[in-house]
Amino acid sequence: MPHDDRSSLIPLLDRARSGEASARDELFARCRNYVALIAQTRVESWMHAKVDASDLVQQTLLEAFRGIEDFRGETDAEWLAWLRKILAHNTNDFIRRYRTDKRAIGRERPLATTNPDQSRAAGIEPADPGKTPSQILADHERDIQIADAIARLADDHREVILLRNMQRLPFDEIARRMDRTRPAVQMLWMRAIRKLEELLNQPRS
Amino acid sequence: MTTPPPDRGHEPDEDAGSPTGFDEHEQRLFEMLDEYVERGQIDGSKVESPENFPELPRLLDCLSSLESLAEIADPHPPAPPEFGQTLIWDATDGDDSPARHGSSTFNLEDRPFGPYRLIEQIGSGGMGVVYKAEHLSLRSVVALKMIRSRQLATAEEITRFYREARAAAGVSHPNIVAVHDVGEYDGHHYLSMDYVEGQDLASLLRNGPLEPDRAAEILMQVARAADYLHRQGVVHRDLKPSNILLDTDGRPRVTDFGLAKVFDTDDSQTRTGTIIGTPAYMSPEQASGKASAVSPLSDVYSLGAILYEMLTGQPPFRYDNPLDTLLSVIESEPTPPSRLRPGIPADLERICLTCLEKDPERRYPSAGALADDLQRVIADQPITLPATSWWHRLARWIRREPELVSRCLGIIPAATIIQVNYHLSNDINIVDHTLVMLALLLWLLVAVTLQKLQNRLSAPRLIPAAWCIADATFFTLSVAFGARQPIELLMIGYPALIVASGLWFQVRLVWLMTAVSLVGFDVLLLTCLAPNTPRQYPWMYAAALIAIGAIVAHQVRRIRILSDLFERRSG
Repeated sequence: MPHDDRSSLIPLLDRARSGEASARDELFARCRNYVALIAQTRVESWMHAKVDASDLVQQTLLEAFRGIEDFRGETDAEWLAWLRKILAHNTNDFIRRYRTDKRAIGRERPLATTNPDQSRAAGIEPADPGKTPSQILADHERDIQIADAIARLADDHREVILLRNMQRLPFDEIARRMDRTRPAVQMLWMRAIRKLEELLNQPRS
Repeated sequence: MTTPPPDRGHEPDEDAGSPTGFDEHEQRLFEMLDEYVERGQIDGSKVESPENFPELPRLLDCLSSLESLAEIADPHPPAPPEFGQTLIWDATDGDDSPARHGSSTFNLEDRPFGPYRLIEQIGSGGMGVVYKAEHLSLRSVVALKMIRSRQLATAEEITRFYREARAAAGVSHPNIVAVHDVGEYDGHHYLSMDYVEGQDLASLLRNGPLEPDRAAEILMQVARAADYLHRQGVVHRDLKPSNILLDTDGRPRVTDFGLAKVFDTDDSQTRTGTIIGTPAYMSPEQASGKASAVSPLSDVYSLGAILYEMLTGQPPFRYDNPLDTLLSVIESEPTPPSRLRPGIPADLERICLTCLEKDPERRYPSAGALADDLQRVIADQPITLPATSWWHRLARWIRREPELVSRCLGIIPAATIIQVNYHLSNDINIVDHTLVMLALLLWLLVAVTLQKLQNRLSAPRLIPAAWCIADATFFTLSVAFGARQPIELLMIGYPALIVASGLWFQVRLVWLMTAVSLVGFDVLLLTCLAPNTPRQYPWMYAAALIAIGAIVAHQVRRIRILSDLFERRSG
């Protein structure tokens, strides 16, 4: 379903809260890349390694989906803060489990098998709206656009942006992780930024 | 645009080695993008030929969007955790903790702030706090203005702030405080500008007015700077003495241009202290909220207001409450500076009043034309302004002294009618006629005197009350001396006076006027009311006067409430 990238999430959110299934689906489809990007960045900057965070994203969206009636906020900012809060809880679990599992290889279990009733997100109130400057200042629609554009990049372009811009690593470290030379990752990064800018300024067909 | 975390270990110099495959153009672009990521800004002077990088602004925009997203994603760049160590992730506080983005702008002295070290606070205002700061790597001293976060509450305001700051960074003029850098650090948006040692014009004017020559000299330079800005497409919108800095050589330098536009939801919010809500330097089109009508000519008005204050020591209109100031800015004419302070050259006064014209069309066509005329004044040459037409002078006088004009409009026709009637009829006593004319003449003289007193720099607060008492007294005297029976039709004067007193917008003046009118009526009642008047009529008339007074007073009170509301909202 085509949508206007710059529009607010709120009408969609209202429809989703009133129980309209297609609105819920669309709402989560629009937030998925955003949650995924933040999840990836957080987990990888903690783990210092490339991590598949898709389970974490899945779990977070699932909890948000189930708990949508509990969300009482009125703005995009509150909604995204609520998603990030759920994500933060899950990230904690995820990292703990991931480390444990690394030490005991073979005991890895998918996240989804954890008891959903223990979901900690269910009772969480929305974050106090816009009380800290960074919350006030953020351009949430732009953030979602960027996350969508990053998701549409080629794999190596996405990775270099994640490492350089999101995790803020120096090029030496990026070169080591991507197993390329430093000039090569620098060139890759610049192309990735150019490509990203292209995607951002050329609206989705 | 945060500082790089300390564990980055990245030296920009290491990038100097040309990565294979980069041509020179790409290498330059890479360096700029990398610098932007590292420092959150680009030194504009290092971009030799911006036209070679048409995509640069869009790329930087993209990078800054990424940066804001990275901040959300990674609010606590963690130290590398040991394997198996207990995680110290505080899940309840995973997002945007206030400690990191502290919004307090206090106690920041002698602290690193992004690429700067704050030295000392040198000022503060509604928009933010200004620090003297040193650029860490360039060692240059700048004035760093931190914008209060509440001033930039929405993403749109931030976008506007950056757009204006970029426009400001593009200008360079000896009378303009250059903007070097704009950015965000630790949740604070900031601007860095030339650090100007000296004082601002507002504090200089606290010691009293300036010599006319010096005033003309300062304003000419400021007008040149404004003209330069206008030609760059920037309207200052908030020219006022506190935005004009005087360096140690006495050279004026304009600051904060364009920023008013960013914060113009209500311009008075950018003001602090004594002039909250009193738009003393604002053009009528700004004061009446016509944002679309604001043009370079609005700045010309503000320049005139500044010249006025330099010459006389006070802005053209300044009252204790915003209603009076607003009404004056929109309706009244300033007192000519030479009446407030003798010795002001006539040409300079004409220049000043031309800038202060209500109709932008009547002002100087540009700040440049104003500067040219000021230069002529300084060089003792004739100025270009055409002589003011008598009609325009009359219009100015009506706006400037409406109290006197309205008395004249009442007294002179009345005297003419009485005089004509005296000649037409032959049964009027010459003594009675002379007494009436004397009373009217005296009324006119008192009006002129009161107007003169009112024009003085420190007008006594009792002047409006004196107007009320004089009007009622002389009206009563004229009727008492001159009128022939029956006088009832002339009694319309009292209600008219009470209604007119409402124009002062002071409840107590309305009641005062009602009271003096009752006294006057009483005098007439005792001296010359027709003996056959039914007894209840005077009582009914007096009650009607009180009722009119009550109605007018009530209306004035309502307007006051609205005015207070305005004052509270803008304060």
